[in-house]
Amino acid sequence: MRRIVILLSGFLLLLPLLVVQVEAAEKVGWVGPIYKELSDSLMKGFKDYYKKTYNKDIEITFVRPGGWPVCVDKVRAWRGRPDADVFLGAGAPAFEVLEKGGFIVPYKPKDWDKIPAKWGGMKVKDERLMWTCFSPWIVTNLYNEKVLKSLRLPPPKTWKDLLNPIYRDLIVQTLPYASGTQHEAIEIHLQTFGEKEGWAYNRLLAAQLARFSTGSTDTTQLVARGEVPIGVAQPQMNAMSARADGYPVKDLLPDKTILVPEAVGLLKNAPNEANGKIFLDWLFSMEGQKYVLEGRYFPARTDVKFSVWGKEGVAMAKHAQDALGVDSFWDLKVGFINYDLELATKRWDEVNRYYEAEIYRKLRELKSSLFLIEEVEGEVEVAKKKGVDVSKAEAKIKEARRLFEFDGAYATARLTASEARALLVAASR
Amino acid sequence: MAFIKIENLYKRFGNVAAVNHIWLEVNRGEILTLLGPSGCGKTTTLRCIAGLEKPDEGDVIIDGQSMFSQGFIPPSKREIGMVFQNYAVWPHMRVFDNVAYGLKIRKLPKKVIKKKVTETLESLGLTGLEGRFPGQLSGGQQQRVALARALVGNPKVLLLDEPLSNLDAKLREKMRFEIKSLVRRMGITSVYVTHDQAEAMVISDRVSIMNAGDIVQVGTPEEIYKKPANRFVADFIGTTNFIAGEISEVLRERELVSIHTEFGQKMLCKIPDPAMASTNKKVTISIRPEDIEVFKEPREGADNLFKGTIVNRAYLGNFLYLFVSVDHTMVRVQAPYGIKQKEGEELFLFLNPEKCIVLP
Amino acid sequence: MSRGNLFLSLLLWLILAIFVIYPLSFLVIESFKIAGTNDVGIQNYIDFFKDTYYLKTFGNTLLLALLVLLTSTAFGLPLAYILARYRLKGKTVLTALILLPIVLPAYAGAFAFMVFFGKQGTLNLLLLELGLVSKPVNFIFGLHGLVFIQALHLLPFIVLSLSAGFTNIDPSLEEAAEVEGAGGFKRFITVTLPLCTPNYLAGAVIVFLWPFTDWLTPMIFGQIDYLPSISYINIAYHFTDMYRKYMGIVSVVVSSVICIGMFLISKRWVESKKYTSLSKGTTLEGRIIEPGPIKRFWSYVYMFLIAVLVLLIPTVLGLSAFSRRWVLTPIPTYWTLDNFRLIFLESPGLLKNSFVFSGVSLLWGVAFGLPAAYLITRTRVRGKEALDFVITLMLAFPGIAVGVSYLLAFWEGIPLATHWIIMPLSLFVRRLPYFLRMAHASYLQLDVSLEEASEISGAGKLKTFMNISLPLLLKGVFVGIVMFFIMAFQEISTAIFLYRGGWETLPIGIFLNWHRGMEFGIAAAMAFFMIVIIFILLLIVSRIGGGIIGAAWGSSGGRY
Repeated sequence: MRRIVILLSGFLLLLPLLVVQVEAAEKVGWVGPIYKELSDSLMKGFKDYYKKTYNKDIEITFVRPGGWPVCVDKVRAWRGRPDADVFLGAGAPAFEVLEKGGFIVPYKPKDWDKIPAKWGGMKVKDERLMWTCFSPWIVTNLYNEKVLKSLRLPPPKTWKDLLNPIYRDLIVQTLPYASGTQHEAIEIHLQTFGEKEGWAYNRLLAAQLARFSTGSTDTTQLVARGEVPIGVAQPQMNAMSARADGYPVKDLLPDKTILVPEAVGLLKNAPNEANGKIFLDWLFSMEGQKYVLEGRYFPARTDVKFSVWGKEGVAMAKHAQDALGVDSFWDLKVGFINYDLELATKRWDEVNRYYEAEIYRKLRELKSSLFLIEEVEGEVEVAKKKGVDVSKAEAKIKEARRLFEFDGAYATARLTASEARALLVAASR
Repeated sequence: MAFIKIENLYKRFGNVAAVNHIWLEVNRGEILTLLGPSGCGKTTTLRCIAGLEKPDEGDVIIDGQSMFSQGFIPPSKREIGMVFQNYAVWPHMRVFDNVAYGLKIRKLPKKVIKKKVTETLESLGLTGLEGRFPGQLSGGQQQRVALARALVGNPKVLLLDEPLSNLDAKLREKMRFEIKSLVRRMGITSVYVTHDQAEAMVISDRVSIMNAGDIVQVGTPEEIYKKPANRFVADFIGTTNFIAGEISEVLRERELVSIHTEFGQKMLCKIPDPAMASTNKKVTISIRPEDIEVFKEPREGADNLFKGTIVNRAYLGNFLYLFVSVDHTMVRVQAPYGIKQKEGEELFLFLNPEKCIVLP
Repeated sequence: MSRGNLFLSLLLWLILAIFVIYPLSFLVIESFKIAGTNDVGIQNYIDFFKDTYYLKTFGNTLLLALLVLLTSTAFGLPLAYILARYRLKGKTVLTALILLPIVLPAYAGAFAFMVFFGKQGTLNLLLLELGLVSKPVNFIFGLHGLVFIQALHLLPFIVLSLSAGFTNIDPSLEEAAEVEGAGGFKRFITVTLPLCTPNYLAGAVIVFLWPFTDWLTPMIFGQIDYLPSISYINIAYHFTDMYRKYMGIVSVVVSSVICIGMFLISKRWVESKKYTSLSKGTTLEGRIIEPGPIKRFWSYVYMFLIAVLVLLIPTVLGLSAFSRRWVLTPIPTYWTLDNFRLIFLESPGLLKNSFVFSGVSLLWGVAFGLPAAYLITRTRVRGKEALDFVITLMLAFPGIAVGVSYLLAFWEGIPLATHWIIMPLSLFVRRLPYFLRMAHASYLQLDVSLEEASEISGAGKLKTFMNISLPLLLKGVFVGIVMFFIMAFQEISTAIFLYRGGWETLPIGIFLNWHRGMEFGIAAAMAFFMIVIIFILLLIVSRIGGGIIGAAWGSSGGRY
């Protein structure tokens, strides 16, 4: 009895070690932050292609441990012995980090020429071949048509529109370090309005927020569910994807924005380098690009026409056309800014830290200060109409706003606002 | 012939010596009781014999074999039987399996096991209960199962740790005799732990009295009762009166000492030990209530006759129990039924010098 | 100290050294690194304690933990009492029901509640339609919602541990109080509850520590200012900002230290009130009372209310599973089986992985946990407190920390992370404390003389363990096993760091599908599927054992 128990338990304990994994002959591994829809679509397409071309099955492994910073960290944790061949997804900044760490190597996919080099002032592919964009998109905002309609509010058109008091508590965004897209949005503000004004804008926008979300997909879902009707900083295709699923969601192309070249790169020391290269070649082929669109991402090739694809039976082509309003992504008319990638990369962490320390963590203080300033401003306006001499109070409250917006000195601004109120009271007597 | 020898046994828990360098021998076939108040070290001593505790110093020798000093012999190899205070019958096993457990461990043939278990159960009056779970038995029955389990393998030594303390009084009394006759019949050397002196008196061949980790006295129940070695033993065994005093005179020719007592009067006592007989030595006199004689009238010239007043008078069926105040010292007296004096009335007590025990 | 015990202890220490101390030391070393340099120092810690924000998040977390514990205790206490003491029909099913929340990953439950209680959720839409409110009511976003969801999620821990306590109390102790004249409620407060303290604390510690390690639920509700969430964000999203990462690790280390401290205090307290009643081992099923009609009525009402709340999760998930684009309407409008068609294409693998990983880790857990509990409660082996301490350390470490440290430790050097064994290993290490706590608690209640009697009868330590301890411990251990398995089954935060393609478990599948466009239906279908599987498992178990509680605590009529 005892012997049996010992033998049995020993066997059970060691069982896992005995199981030998069946090794497939051909493999390729991807790591990256792309959504499940795209990875599923690409897996299906590439498996079929591989079977058709090489008459062999290929096993594809895809790891998505989280958003792209997490994926970058994953590659870093592999310390030069990657468990994947291809880094799939994320924009230029991610690849800059990967390149600096020596984690990627250059490769020129077959149809590399079909991808534009630059668009709207942004690099779409790396001339040193470290990365190439397979799916471009634009930093947009998002709104829930149905909820905004029920609130009888027009959709906000520009960044400045978002500051309109009618949208107060109806906007959601995430923290810049939780989402690359959100970070880019803030970078857009800083580069469009100027650094000081950009931060002032973000202070004012923070006061408009209903809440912070945990990431850009969370933002999309909150808007799609109608929990908060407006979402800031979204990959453009999220709205298309949600709409394709039947949600009353639309994207808002803001007045100033940038292109994000969702790119792909070959990892250094890739265990299945040859298959990785085959995948990259395929990804940029016309067939591969169709699977990109079916995966609800926009195709990057310049020779794609949605209308043609639609006739060829690409189901998502119609949705893409609806979402973009043009026949090819590159036909979009967008108010691009002159994006300084170098500056953006250099101050990446600094921007995130500043936002967190000066806006996110001080949100309560920020709101109470701003709301008092707004109140006093209203009082000043009323008094002015009554013919009271408000010059002193007006000067004071302007100073308060300046302190608030440009210096971020919330406490001092609040104090100054109360001083302005005192001056107003004195003047009214 | 010493079957179990406890040599210089010492066991410490934290800073307290639970067993303080004790020496003890248990003869083959006898029942020895370790008696003492709780915390005196009796259970620890028993558990060292069983091997459930390891002493810090000293050794236990069972049947000539050392249990500790030449490599530790685990309880499972000691061939002992033990009955626990809470019975410790296994709730998930039927009565039969509980009793058969040790035999199965020894891999005896099934037939032999069946026979032995049936016999043992029968001798304990448990026949018919083999298929029950302990939860379906009364406390007394569980106790018998525990006993059967301990005895079934014919152990060299039987250890009993307050086995009767969870039973009701009637059953307890009955079981005392039953255990005694059973163990006698089987001739197993037994060590019995209890704090109940009456139980110890009934069950043991010899009693070892322990206090605060030390063995105070070892002897037959009679020796212990009649000749307690010190005040602790005299007090612990039975009821007694203590009278403090100081030796004032030694009367060697009569083997008596005269003691100046707290009554303020002198009292004659037999000397137990000539070495103790020196004047001015402070001593305690112990005299049992049944050894005091009661008189209605004073008797001329008699020694050790004291006048007292009855404070409390209790009728206990075959005798009277009196609390008598002798010069503000309370003396307990067991008197014959014929004494008619009421509470508050006077009488005379005779403390026979032969029966007064002088304790250091 | 026998040689066998010493050997056992060394063996356990070896396993711990490789799978706990070695990887976690990487984490601690990381926390002392100074960003941008090759130096090490305590600067990160100084920054941490100087920063009022971290103190605030710590305060928030502490408050949350207290509120969750209070709430789950307040709701769990009557429930545990009813389940343990009243003879009621349908107890088996209701018990299985209240076990449901721990089966699910916390976030699946959280999402279901968002769908139901959200601002545009079913309840609000109905209230708006009926004109009962003019603006959506904020039911769940904020501290109150968090307390609500976590308390419900953790309710089973309180209920299971308390009802174990109620069942294990020697009836005579309560009867004694009754005789002394203590009426029902007074007796409950003065005798029953204090006697349950050791059991209660075993569950309460898990509940209390939970908010210190659950990063995802607060984030789903838009609350980031909690220690684990901020650690997660700092570590997961640091990108190039090494300082942020180190600060994240520092907060993991600090919160771990705090958790361990609190755990030690509670442990000391339990041991100072170790009530092992003398007649233990002979008591059977505790006091089972035939409740009067009024008590019976209210018991059913109460159980029903809890069951409704609990059932809301599978109901909402079920509705989502069978529908698509369910938003802005009280119930779905478009019904489909598409979600299931999709998951059956990919789930068999996930399901197999989940069972294999959880099963293997469970085997290890039992093989390791029982000897560990034995060493800790039954021997005087030196360093047994440290053993307990190190195992319990894992309870206080957020999954992300384990994931990160495992990757740091087992990628190079000991390259375990390339074999799927890493998955059950990490589950084993993370969930071990749950099992150890249960085994430990059962051991404390097993009267040592039962084992001694076996040794006297000639059985060695191992035989005694197999023949006596194990069968008697089985009641408590069984609950530990069930808990271990379901906790391993729903684990995600470590697994998400360690999995490679092909190793996805069901929870990872849910997580990944959550990001599949906007369609929650597929994730919901998986979660629903998972609930069904576990519920069937629980029912089978309860059929065999005659009720979960019955099986676990051995109340089945004639057997004992």
